[in-house]
Amino acid sequence: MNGQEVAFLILAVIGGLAGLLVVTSRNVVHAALYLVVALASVAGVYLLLAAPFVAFVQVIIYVGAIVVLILFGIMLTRAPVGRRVLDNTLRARVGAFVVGAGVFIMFTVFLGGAFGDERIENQGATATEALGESLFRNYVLPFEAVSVLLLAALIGAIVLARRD
Amino acid sequence: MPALKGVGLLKGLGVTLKTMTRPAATRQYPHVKPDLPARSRGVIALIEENCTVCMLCARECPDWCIYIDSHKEQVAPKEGGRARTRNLLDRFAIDFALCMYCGICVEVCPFDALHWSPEFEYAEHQIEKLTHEMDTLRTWAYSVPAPDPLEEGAIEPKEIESARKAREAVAAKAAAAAEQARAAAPPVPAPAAAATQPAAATTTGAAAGTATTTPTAAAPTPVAGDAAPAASAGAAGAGTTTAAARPADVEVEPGIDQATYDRLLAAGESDRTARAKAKAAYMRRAKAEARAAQAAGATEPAPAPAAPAEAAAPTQVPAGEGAPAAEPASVETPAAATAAPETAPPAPSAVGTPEGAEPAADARDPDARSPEGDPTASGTAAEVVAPGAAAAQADAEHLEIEVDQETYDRLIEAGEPERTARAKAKAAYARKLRAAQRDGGGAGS
Amino acid sequence: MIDAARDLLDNYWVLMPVKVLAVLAIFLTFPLVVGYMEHKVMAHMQARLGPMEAGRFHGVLQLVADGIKFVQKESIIPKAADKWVFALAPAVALIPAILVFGFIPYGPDLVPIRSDVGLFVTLALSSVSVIGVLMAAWSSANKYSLMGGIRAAAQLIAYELPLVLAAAAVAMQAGSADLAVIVERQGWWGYIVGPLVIGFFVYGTAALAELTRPPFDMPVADSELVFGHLTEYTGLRFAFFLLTEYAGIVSQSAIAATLFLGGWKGPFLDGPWWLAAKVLALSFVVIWARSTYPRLREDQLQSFAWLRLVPVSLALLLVVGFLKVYEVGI
Repeated sequence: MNGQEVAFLILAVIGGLAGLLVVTSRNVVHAALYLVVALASVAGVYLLLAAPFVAFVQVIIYVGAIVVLILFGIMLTRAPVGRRVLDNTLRARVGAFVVGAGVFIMFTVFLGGAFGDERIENQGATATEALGESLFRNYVLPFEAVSVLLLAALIGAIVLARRD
Repeated sequence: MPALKGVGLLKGLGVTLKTMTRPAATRQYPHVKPDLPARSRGVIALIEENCTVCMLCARECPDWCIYIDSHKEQVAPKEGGRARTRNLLDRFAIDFALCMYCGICVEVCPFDALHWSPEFEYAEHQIEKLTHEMDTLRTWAYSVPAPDPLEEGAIEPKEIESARKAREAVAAKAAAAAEQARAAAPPVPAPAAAATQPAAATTTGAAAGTATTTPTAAAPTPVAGDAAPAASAGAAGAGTTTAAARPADVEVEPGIDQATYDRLLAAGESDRTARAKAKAAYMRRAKAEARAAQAAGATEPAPAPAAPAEAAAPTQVPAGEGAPAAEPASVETPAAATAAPETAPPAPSAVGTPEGAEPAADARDPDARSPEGDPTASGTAAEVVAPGAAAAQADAEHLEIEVDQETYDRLIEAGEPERTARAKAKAAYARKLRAAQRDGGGAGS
Repeated sequence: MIDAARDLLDNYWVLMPVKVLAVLAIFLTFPLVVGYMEHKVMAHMQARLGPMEAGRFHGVLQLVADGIKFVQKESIIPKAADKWVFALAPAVALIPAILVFGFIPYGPDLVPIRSDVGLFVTLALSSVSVIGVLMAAWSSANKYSLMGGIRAAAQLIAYELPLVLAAAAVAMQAGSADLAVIVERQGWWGYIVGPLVIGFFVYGTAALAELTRPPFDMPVADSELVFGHLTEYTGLRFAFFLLTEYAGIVSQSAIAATLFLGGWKGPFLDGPWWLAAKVLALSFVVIWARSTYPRLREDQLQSFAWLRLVPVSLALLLVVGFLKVYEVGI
């Protein structure tokens, strides 16, 4: 087991635990903070895979923006200040379990089906330039499709938020 | 013209940058003393000699922060009549932890015993220490500036007036006595008569050298006594000195002195100030002229009577020693503390009362009798302290204030600033002297 | 001798501690210098003198004295507060602020941690600091803190966008996200000559807002919110937040100087001193803005970000991209 694998194990354990705590935590804000840890350990994994650009974009977008938005949303709505907890009802728990289990099974099946036992060799460092080229040459159509999807979501949000 | 958007933002930056290059407006207080106006309301000071224990201040105080203790004392009657009682101040303290500096006590005090003093450095670490007793309150009074002189031609304050009348009566009496004496006695050179009136007017050493050997031509003490109020007049609230010095009241049309006005404007004074000052200048001149005209019309007012001679009282003080009495026997007032010379030797000063009683007698002038401590009235009384004959001065509460050298040296050694040391030493001296007098007075009466 | 030192420094295990110590030294000196500068500059701009006693000469040791005072103070955690989050928040805010200093190119070969996405690293780290602010705001169990937290979140979300877009315009112009390369591709006058001067203003404004410095200090608006997320903090934890703020000024000034002002390059004698001078000059501007402008209102702040800065930075990106594609030299 080389250093990289040790680091991966540590990151995986931290990320997995944090992920578990995100869904079991009875305090929404704690859940959001555990999410920061989980996302950061994912960024760490990206770094191990020699993809620093993806890693730091992960931090900027997820930690710097998404989690902040989640926290903002929590504070703006229910805001259980301090130690007070906000527990879910049984129905919500069952629903969450079903959704979580479904996603887990789906990813397991899909990833297992796609890669199986195939061993993927560790590649050299991904230059940011190479990443850009593949994104804007080879995968430009999916990229644009995602952009359109996000734009649609944005417009949808505005429509929903408008009063008149 | 609508300014370009954003120009205001740049202007704002310019303002702050400009301010930064200029010297700061603040003062480094503990290192640099603040430049306060003379009448700053820093603390309330007490001139305890003026206090009659009327309790008005304590009663008016919204915070009840003034504590006064006193006792009553019988005063022997003068010529018959019943004995009088009067209050003597034992304790006067202000708790500055409670005081809210409203100044009502200063306002209500009828005898000018309380004053605003510019002293402000009396912070303490313990709240009890903020209760200041009268010795401290007294030392603060030394920095109270003298009141402004009264306006020219203002009505004479009552107490000054009564003192003046008493003095004139005495002087007349003395003059008559002197006349008598001259008629009776061989012509001995008695220059005393000549010198006195100017003294009354100028408040300086009055009865210069009354080197007379006649027993009747006694020391010029009443005049010397007159000098005292004059010296203290500024502080005591009376701007005038004697009747002769007080100009007659004349009425003139108001106008403006153009030359003064132009000069002041050129000097950069504001128009309002310049006009006011020019008007004042004009009024001064016009009144002087009017007075001169009046004087020319009337007969010259006769010079005040000659050196008073006490017919009945052959004083034991050698006449030669009478002269020092003319030293301004400064009444202890703020002005006296700040302005009056402190050099007056307390030693050989002639004792003089209008009655001219024996040296052991009460030094007070019954005519100008006043409650103890009333600054102006008592100041006019001939209360000259003669420590040489201290026992005689049982009641004289107005003292030559000197510095108690021992206290002064001790305080300087203890590291007190020179000013504090001097003030405290003065207070110590005054206390000692007064105590001595009281004792002496008690023994005498 | 020099060769021996060089050989020694080639050893990773020698070099790394040296780098760490150097970064820590920078982290512990510059923010204090800027803090002292803030005291003095602001005082003089307000016709005052500022600290004059500590350290005998014009209060030079004022911040040291402040630090000693903070250490002595009781560290209070409110009863209703979420203890762990409350205690961790200063660290979450402070550590990214320290790490940023590791990625800044101080000189031609003086980059403690070189990364070809250095620009994104610094931006990512400065956005992590926000989490610390939000943790502090929420865990204090204080409505003023919470309001401050909400404002901080809204403000940081709004201003992150123009900040990143302006930085992206620079990366596009330089053709790299490596801060060292970005500096090397600038002349000593930086990108201040050309269309990127607009980017400089956009970046500067957005960075000021990111730092929640006046006039963008609504999250800690003392007249409305006591002290925002810092209301309940005392002693050393409060000091850490203050240190984070000053470190943020220094690091943002350093990044702005690197991106737009030519970093360590100067008209003569290139070196770290030029970066230091530029950082101090930009910090001065930050303080200058603080003592000049009144605080914005919350809605003004939001509309300024979304209606002014974002469109301007998008347009800038467009212009820079156009010039780059058609190879019109800037």
